[in-house]
Order: sequence, then C-alpha cells, then structure tokens
Amino acid sequence: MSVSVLMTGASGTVGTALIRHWLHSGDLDRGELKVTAVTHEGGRTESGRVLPRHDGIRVVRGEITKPDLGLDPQALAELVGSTTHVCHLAASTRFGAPLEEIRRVNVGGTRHVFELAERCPRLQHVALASTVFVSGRRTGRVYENDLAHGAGFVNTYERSKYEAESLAHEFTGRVPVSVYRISTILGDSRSGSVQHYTAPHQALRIMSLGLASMLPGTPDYRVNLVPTELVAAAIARLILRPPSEIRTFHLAAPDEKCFTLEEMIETGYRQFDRLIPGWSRRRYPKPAIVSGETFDRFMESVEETGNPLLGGVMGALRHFAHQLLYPKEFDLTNTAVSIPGYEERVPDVRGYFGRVLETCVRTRWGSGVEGE
Amino acid sequence: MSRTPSHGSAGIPISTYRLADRRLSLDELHRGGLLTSAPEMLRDFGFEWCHVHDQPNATELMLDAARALLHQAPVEREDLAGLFVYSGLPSAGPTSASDPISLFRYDLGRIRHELELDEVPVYRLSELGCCGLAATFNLAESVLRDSDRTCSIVLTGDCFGPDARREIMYNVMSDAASAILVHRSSDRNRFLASHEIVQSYYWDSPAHSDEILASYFPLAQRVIERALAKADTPMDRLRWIVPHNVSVRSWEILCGVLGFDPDRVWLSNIAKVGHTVSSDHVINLCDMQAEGAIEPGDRLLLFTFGFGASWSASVFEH
Ligand SMILES: NC(=O)c1ccc[n+]([C@@H]2O[C@H](COP(=O)([O-])OP(=O)(O)OC[C@H]3O[C@@H](n4cnc5c(N)ncnc54)[C@H](OP(=O)(O)O)[C@@H]3O)[C@@H](O)[C@H]2O)c1
Repeated sequence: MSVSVLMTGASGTVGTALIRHWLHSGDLDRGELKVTAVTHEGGRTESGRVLPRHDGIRVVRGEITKPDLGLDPQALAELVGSTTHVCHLAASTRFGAPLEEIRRVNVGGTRHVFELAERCPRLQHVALASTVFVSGRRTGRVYENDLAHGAGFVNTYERSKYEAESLAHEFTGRVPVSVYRISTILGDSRSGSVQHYTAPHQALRIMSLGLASMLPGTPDYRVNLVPTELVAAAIARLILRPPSEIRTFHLAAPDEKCFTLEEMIETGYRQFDRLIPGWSRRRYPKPAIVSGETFDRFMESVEETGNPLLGGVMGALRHFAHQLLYPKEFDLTNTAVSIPGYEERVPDVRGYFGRVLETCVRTRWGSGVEGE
Repeated sequence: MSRTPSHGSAGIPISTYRLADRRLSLDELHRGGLLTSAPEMLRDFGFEWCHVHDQPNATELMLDAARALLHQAPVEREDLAGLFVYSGLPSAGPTSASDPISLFRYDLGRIRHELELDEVPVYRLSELGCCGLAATFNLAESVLRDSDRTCSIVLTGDCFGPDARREIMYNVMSDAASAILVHRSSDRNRFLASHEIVQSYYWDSPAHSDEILASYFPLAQRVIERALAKADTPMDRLRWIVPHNVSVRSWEILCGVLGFDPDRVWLSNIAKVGHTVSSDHVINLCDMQAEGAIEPGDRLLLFTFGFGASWSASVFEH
C-alpha cells in the first residue's frame, strides 16, 4: 500500500521531527511513503532550509487560512487525487495572540484542511495535532475522550485549539479524524536539541538571567514535558493505523516521569551552576511560588512602571504561567492501548533535562550566537 | 543572631525621629522635575508627600533627634557603651579643596561635641543602603553584650539635598534622621532575632537594577521566614510588620508572597512620610506607639532591603 501524506506545519517542531522519524525508519527511502509539505508564504519553510531534500518529500506553497489552502488549481487537483493521509500540524503557537487572529489560523485553517480532506477520494485518515491544554482551567484527571468543559482557558491559544477539536467532532462521519493532544515538548531526549524555544525554555531563560521573581502555582504542580522524538514516533505509528472508535490520544508523560514545579526550578538552578561559568557566584534566588492574584498584581505593577526589561521577560511568562494554577494529570489509556509499552517508553524528564538545557545555554536560547 | 525571648533582653526602650520640615506633594515634585515616573503612578503605588531638607547633610536632623532622645532618656555618659552612627548616602563634604585641611571637617566630631560625648566610643557605618539601621542596631547590641555598660545610642540620618531627584526604583525618598536608645535590659521592644542575606554581586546598583527588582520578593520572603524561625515566632504570631516605607504596592505583593494580612503592615506613613534611607522603622515604631497600635507582648517584624545589596529582617517583642 502506498501512503501519500499531506502535511501542514512541516517546518515546526513536530513536523521536522516526524519527517526525521520517517527518514530514519527508512519509510521514505523505501518509497512506501510520500510527503507533500504545504509551506506557507512568509513562513520559515523555505524547503531547502528547514526540510531535508529527498525524493519522497515534495513542497508546495499553501496558506491554511485560505480555502483550498490557497493552492493553485493544478497543485490542488494533484493533491486531492493522491492524498491518503492528512497530517495537520500547522498552527499559530503564539499564546498571547489576539483571539480573532489565532482563530483564523487554528480554527479557520483546520476547517480548510478538513474541507480539502473531504474531497480526497483515497483518503484514509486525518491527524489533527492538538494540545493537552484544550482542558484549559480544568483540574484533576483529564481523560482523552473528554473535551467539552466550561472551566475556561488560560490563553487564546488553548481556546483556539479547543475550538479546532470541536470542529473535528463537527466533521464526524465526513472525515475520519484522530486527535493527538500533545503535551509540552522540551526537546530531543537523546541529543538535547531544540527546534523552537517555547514557554518552558523561556521560563528557564528568565531564571538564568536572574530575572525570575515569581511564578504562580504550587510547588507540587506536575510539569508535564515530553521529548520531541517520542511525539514524532507516536504520531508516525498512530497515523498509519486505520482509524477506529478511539479518536483522541494524549501524547503526554505519566506523572511519575515529570518534575514537580519546585523540582524543575531546583534542577534548572543546579544545571545553570554546571553550565554557565560564574553563575553560582551571582546567587540568584529561585522565584517565589505564589497565588494567581499575587502574580497578577506583580505583573500589573511591572507593566505600570513600564520597566522595559522586566516587562519584556515577564510578559513572555504571562500568557502561559497561569496554567500552573490548574494542576492536572493526563490519562493515557487510549495511547497505551494503541501503542503497547508507551508509558514505559516515555523517557523520564530527569534523564534528559540537562541535555536540553545545555543546548539552551550553548545557543543562548536559539539566538544564533553559539559557542561552536 | 538569636536570643531566647525573656525579660531582661536587649531592646529599644526609647526612640525619636526628625523629619525634614519642607513638605512637597507629588505634583510639586513633578513640577520641579524631581520625579522620574508620573505622579499618578506613584500615587497609585501609595505615595503622596515627600519631606525635603534644605541641606544635603543630615547632621542637623540627627542632632535634633539625638537631643530629643537624651531629653526623654537622660543617660549618664559613663553608662554608654558607644555612639553608633549610620548614613546610607555619601557625606556631602568637599572631596577636593584648595586647603586640604577642610577635608578633615568631620560631622561625627561635631555630633560628639554637641552631645558632649567625648568619652564615649563612636562607631560609624556606611554603604549599607536602607539596611543601615538594622546593621547598626545589631552592632550596638553586640558591643553592649560584651561590655559592662548598660546602653548605647544609635543615630541614623540621610538627606538627599534640596535640589536632588526624589525617586528611586518607583519609591519617593524623603529626608529624616532617627535616634534610638539600645538598652541591655529593656522593658520594651526586646530584640529576639535577626537574619540578613547579602548579595554582593549586586554592589553596582544601577547596573543590576533589574536583577535587584526581580530578587526583591523571593529574598524578602526567605529572610523574613528565616528571622521568624530564629525567633521561634510563627507568622501568625506577628502582630505587625513594621515596614520600610517602599511603595504600598510592593507591600501588597510581598504580603501575597508571604501569605500575611496587609492590614497588619503599618502602611499609613508611606503616603505621609515617603521612604527615608535609614529612619523608616524608627518613624513607624514611634508613630505606632503614639497611636496606641502596639500592646506589650506584641511581636513585631522589621524588614528592609538595602542597596549594596542586603535583605534584613529583625523580630522584636514590644
Ligand atoms: N511544540 C509543542 O510543545 C506542542 C505542544 C502541544 C501541541 N502542539 C501542537 O502541535 C502542532 C505543531 O506544533 P509545533 O510545535 O511544531 O509548532 P511550531 O513549531 O510553532 O510550527 C508551526 C508550524 O505551523 C506553520 N504555520 C503557521 N501558520 C501557518 C499558516 N497560516 N499556514 C500554513 N502554515 C502555517 C508554520 O510554518 P512556518 O514555519 O512556515 O511559519 C510551522 O510549520 C501544532 O498544532 C501545535 O498546536 C505543539
């Protein structure tokens, strides 16, 4: 059987890892699998730069915010005719983006992808990348089969992804969709490499600069982090299995393989000590862990003073830090049933956190100013 | 430094202060170009008035405060273990002069002379920012412990000068001086324990101002919790936190960090007085006593931060 995957978001953290996975597994080389990556104008995906050159990988220019992804008629016809699987990863991952703007990409874009998929005669399966944080402000155990809730959201990103998942339900019976709710990706557990520096990396950067005053939450909050290659391997496996009754999967870590918030901060400080010469002599204090109200009052004050540096760095925290006030555990039943041994295979963050931090420090959090 | 709370511990039976006479509102300071931030923001942060001395030197105010103290507590000179003087601002005297002898015109000598304290050893501390009072008290207390005398005098004072800008890190700065009597066996304000955290990496305050702002709350929390532990005083046993008069806003946040009721922080002087470098705690203690806000047996925590940089907390029992 030949598989022809239409992939959006191929240049992102997950997309590049998934393509790397298919290269290493030999699936692309054997010609059993072909990928058409829809890149978007003005984005990072200038084929040669981010995506490897390979006969099995084709790049077409597209824009998910447009109907038919804005493809020209010929490219569209070819894609519709050949696509067997759709892997929809593209999203705006800017937590603080205005709701209408992020909805246009994450909900409108998903609708366009589903509508295109609906017209593909050979279509077998559509994979929608989502986030475990569609659970928003819910607390406690979150099950894969649950979506609807009235707890609210911490940022516009969570809301938009929730709405995108709801759209998948709307398309039930029209398109065979599976939803992969990914936890926060830290980096590659083997090499420590980081594709994009996101919320947890920024929080650690602020700590390394001695600018982390406080974080909302409780010391025993479980920070759920997963390595890139685990997510890629799971998606690669799940997307090629025929869709079944199980439609939603948590690609998260079991609680015991996660840091508590306090442990993550302490480990981060120990690692900075090891990685940054002279860092320990600065004796930066660890951030205080405070209530949401205290954190908000502090943020308000920083904003009011117009302090550019603190305002900038703390501003980077404000759109996701509140999630630390809503402790939850992600149930992994569906994933464990579909990928036997999944939970055992999830690497413990304690084993690779140091490697990822090493990359952060060496690349100065992706600023391009490396010591190599 | 910690002591078992008992009658007969060293403490502060009497204290006095002098605020600079001229009182300027935030709007007046703003019109005079003496603020960095908008008056509205500083008002929102809890400030309103600033006290400005007509000289860039605190000696007059310190002498006034000391005379008032000695009037209230006429101590025999031979009972004094020392005179301890602190200013956080550099002395405004000449740094070069046509006649170099003018460099040796010492304010400390003048204070000693005018208070007739020639026979009393003097100690002068500097460069501890707003932690100066706490450090000077601790020194006075430890000297007293090893001496056969009964008491010491601590004088603090700082004046920025009539034309100086009045805002530091979103705080409005006033000029004032204070005087305290430290008695080896005090029936009031008995010292229980103190704790200090020093971060000398921040010695260059302008270069590290953002790190200092960021560290302020976590280190305040740590130093307060350690001082309370040394004094065997749970947070809820505290009747009052006697603040240094930084913004009300920052106290609200610190109370949130500590889980402490902001109504039990004496905040009313922040608008009335503003923040002085080294006299806030004495000003607040005197006013709290005058207003009958403290009862015997009440536990008080005095917290402050000083450029340089250090965080300091002391626990007393009234
Ligand atoms: N990384 C995580 O920790 C994480 C966690 C949970 C869920 N997820 C989900 O996983 C998926 C992939 O995330 P990621 O981390 O790989 O994201 P990412 O690194 O931010 O990459 C986003 C991708 O979307 C593409 N894109 C953005 N706007 C587009 C548009 N208007 N039209 C076409 N393409 C567009 C980007 O293309 P350009 O590069 O060309 O701009 C890029 O390839 C997303 O759905 C995300 O919500 C990720």
